[in-house]
Amino acid sequence: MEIASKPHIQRSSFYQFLECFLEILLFETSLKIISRRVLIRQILFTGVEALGLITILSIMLGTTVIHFGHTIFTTIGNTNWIYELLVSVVIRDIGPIIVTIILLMRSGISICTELGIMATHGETNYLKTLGINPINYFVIPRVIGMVLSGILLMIYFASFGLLGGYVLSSLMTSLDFSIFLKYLSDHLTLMDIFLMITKITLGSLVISLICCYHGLHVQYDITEIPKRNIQSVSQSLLVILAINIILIVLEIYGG
Amino acid sequence: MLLKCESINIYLKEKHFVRNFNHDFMPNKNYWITGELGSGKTLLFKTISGISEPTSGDIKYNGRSLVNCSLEGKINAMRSFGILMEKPLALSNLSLFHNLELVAKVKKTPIDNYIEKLKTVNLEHKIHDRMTDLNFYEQQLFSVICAITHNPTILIWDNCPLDHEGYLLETILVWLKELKARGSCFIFLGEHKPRILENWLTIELENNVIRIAQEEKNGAEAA
Repeated sequence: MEIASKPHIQRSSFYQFLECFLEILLFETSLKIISRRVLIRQILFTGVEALGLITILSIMLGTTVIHFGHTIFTTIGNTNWIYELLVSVVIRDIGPIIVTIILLMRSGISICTELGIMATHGETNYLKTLGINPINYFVIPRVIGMVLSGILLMIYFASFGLLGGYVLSSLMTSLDFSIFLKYLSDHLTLMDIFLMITKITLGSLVISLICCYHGLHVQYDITEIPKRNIQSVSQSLLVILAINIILIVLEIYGG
Repeated sequence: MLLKCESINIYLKEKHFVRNFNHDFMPNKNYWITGELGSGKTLLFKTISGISEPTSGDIKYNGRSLVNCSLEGKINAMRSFGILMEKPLALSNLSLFHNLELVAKVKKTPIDNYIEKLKTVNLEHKIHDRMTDLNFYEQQLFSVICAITHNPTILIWDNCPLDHEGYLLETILVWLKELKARGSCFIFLGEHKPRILENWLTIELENNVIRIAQEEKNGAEAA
């Protein structure tokens, strides 16, 4: 049973933190003390409590796209492009970024602050005295909760964005719902849905890992927490944008 | 021996705090590790109790390394430890009951044993409160209950407040005596020599030199 590996929270670099996270997640199956309570609370906070904000933003986005799309494309004479625009903005390109940023601003900062306070109180050390790796108890349930909530919120966002779009377009053109769905399905491909799920999964995974890393690395003083929050937000934003750019490039060159 | 420290060296920010610490901790013995402020007591406490790893050297529990071991190996070994930090701690996002549930699960001890001890100190009515709802005295009692109910073979306590916080003494002393009767090894760290129990073997950390005094009978029980 004595293996040379010894994942430890004290290792400082993010890559070592990631290595430790993956090691526990993938290989230490017998030891996953995933706290169900932490996981459920994370899904409630990240997913359920964000529904109101997501509903408002998605309906606003859907109606705005339809409104401007209708104005522009009827002038050009091709109203079908409205659906292409709706799919692109709500589902494939802008929607995942909006949901990821909401996750970062609401839950990411909360995770970083909560873990930072726990770390300054010595609660990570307390877990270690029980023989539990803090990554096992603090990080894994939060990451799983964030990713699950992110995917569910994105589906919710897309549904309400499209529904909002339909409500507005039906007001302007008295469009039947079945016709709206037909036009939409003509423009919506499996690749769009795949890209949406990939972007939100990678985004929420990256946010939760970066915020947990910074939260757990608060060491001495509570005044470190705001600095760590700033670092986690700026780094997360950079990585989210990088992921989206890479996926767009792959999409363009991959056909 | 229960716990063996082999050539432990601890550096912090390039300063060499603990130099070549070797010691075998035996069952049914009391050890008092002392030294001036900044002598490396707390670093040694963190290393022995698995919070941090030594810069070099090894710690073996019943012949098995605690430094180079798997997570499972570590959690199994730590099951025999009772560790109390200077500040009483529990997870602040959980109620006392859920904290006990976690400890009981990790230590493979029935939760009823913990609740029984809570009842003896009249804390059972606060079981759904959080640690921050308790006063310092209650927090200390709760931490001790978490650390000793599974009957650890080694009890490590950093800056034990029993000497200067007399009100804690009576209840906890009874529990410590019960633990001692089972043959547990006590390792207490701090500047003040424990006045509870007897026969403390002093280990002094001073200017990177470790002096181990003879076992002495100094412990007129404070109770």
